[in-house]
Amino acid sequence: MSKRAAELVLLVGFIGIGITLVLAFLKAPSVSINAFESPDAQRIFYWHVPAAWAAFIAFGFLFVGSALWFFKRSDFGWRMHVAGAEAGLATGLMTVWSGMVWGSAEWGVAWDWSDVRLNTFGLLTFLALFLVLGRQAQPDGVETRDTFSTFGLFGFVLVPVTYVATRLWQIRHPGPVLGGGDGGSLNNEMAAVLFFGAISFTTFMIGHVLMSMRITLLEQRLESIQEAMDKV
Amino acid sequence: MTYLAVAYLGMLIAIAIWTWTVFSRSNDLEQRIDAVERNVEQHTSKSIIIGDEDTREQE
Amino acid sequence: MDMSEALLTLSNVTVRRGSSDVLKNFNLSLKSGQSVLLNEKNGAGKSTIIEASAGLLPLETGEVRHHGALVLDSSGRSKRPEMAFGLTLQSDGCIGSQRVEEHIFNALDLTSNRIDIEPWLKRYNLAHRKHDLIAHLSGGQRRKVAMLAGMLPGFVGDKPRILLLDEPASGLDQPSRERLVEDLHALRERGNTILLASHHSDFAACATHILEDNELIAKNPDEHTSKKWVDVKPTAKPRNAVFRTSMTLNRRTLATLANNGIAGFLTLGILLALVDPKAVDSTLVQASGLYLSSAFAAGLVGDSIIAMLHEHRALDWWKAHRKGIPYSYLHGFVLGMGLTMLTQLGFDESVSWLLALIGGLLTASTMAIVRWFDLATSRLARPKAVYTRILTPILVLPFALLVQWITDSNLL
Repeated sequence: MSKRAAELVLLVGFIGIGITLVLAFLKAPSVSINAFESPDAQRIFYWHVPAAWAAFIAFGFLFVGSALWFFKRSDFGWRMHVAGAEAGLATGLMTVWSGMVWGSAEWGVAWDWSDVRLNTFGLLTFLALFLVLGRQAQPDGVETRDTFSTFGLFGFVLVPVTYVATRLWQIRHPGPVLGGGDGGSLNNEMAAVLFFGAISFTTFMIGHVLMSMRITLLEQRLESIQEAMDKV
Repeated sequence: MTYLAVAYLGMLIAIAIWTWTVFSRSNDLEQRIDAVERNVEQHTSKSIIIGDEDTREQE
Repeated sequence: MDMSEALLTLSNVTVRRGSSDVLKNFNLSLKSGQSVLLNEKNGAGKSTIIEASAGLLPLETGEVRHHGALVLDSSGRSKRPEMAFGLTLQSDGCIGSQRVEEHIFNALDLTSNRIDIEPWLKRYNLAHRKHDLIAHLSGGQRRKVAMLAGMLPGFVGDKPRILLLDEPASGLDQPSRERLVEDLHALRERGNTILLASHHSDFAACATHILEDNELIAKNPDEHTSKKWVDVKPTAKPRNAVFRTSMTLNRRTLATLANNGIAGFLTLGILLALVDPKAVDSTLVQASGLYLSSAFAAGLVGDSIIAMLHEHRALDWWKAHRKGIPYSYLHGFVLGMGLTMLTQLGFDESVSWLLALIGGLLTASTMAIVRWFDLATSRLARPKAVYTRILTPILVLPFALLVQWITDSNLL
């Protein structure tokens, strides 16, 4: 994919995220005052859930990329690993941050150390941070790729754990919005805004993955040219 | 409400900065590659002149 | 060549380092009594061949066998070789906080036998340094220690061993090099298989083969007079090298106390400064969390021995032998118990031995997991520039669940 197209996808996603925010305030109906401590903060839901959704897809890229590198030695796989980690970090941080804002308004605490889902998701984000920072500190090479893709593979075990966590140990965090069995909790307008948010965040994340894969490709090209020049 | 406004705006600005860094990293790398490639061209053309003794003698 | 006869076999081995294959479809099969000199120029993969033979490098293709049994293959299967081998790495592979004799005894103990090392130390002019810390030696002396640790296993026992020596003579003076050539003759005549990398031409004298352009070229070793000058009968009973090293290093450097201990004591101090002991109700969740948090903090620091093992690539030396890597679990356990008891006393509680035991286990197991992160990243080009501590929050949730469980089951 060309550079322009990747940039466009990223920009469209970003604008969509902005529009989601506007829709969340102007379009989405208010929730019943009785059910929530802080109904205004509830509107963060339209960012929080799509961001988490996009983060899971990004972590999926991370996992597939790690596996492709680890088992198939695929350069494409490694680029996907790098892009998945970066996009996962961006969307993961958004999820954690928006969740903390909501949590402090709704529960009175930003973080609950005893909640399984919060912690496993936070950990996935930390894993992405570890992968992004760690990779930047190491020269590219088979040792670096092997080590970080191993961590990518291990980390993915957390994804299903995080998804089912709210059902196994429901402490504070509500259950899954989709596929949670209790599908009637969203009305049409809410669902529409949520859907728009999900599309925007996914577009943003995919744009990020495309850009990031391109950047890694450029980095590799630069390195190989420089190596060739070293030998002259 | 101020708290929420700050939180929302903070997030939006954070994503904007993040997106901008992605763009700038990509542009920065392209410029570096361009610079290196130009250098390589000079390198190779120079070495051809040095290596090609016939042309040198003629000059 | 009959496979069962070969002591060391590398078949179809491909090794990648950085972004290129430094060894491609490499084959080597060495029998007892063969001594191969690798004397190609730098960068031609001498160290890679030695390290691959030691089973230290992950293989893209192929497999490595010692005495016919698999040591490592490309799918990552790895087995401890039945016969311990001698190994001198290009970096010395010894820990600065160990004494000269300790490192050499480690190499011998891994073979499950000991011989008298005194004559060898004298021969290489190290006897007066026997009890010194390796960190206090000069570079050349340290090299001799590393060389002896790689060579002496070849004098232990009746069966031939594999000896992998990477530049054993770098930094050695001329007389020592001549002695080493003599000793290599003796080692080969005992039936050992020697793989020796060196750019010194002296060593061609004791080689039966020279490896050039991936081809073994046979030659006759120079004439020499065999000296049976040393007694190599087993002496003292060998001891567990990993256990002894773990204990000695911790006793000598107080590393666990100085690193993990400080973190634990600081946590305890902060808790005592912030929390009023009278306000703590020992039946609540907070209480057990409070009593255990200094032990937890101590464990989060990880295993302090790992930092020492990064000196001169000692970690690789231990890894290659596949008999374990020195650890601080026991010290962590005792420290965790102590911290938990101290915290309980600090909060005016009577000491619960059960909680102290849990505290000890908590420190040791937390330490083990952080140590695993460190070991999993040790292959990186810059193992110290990696952010493994970012991953430690993984341990907070199990800690929270443990605290919850202690409260729910009324252990206090």
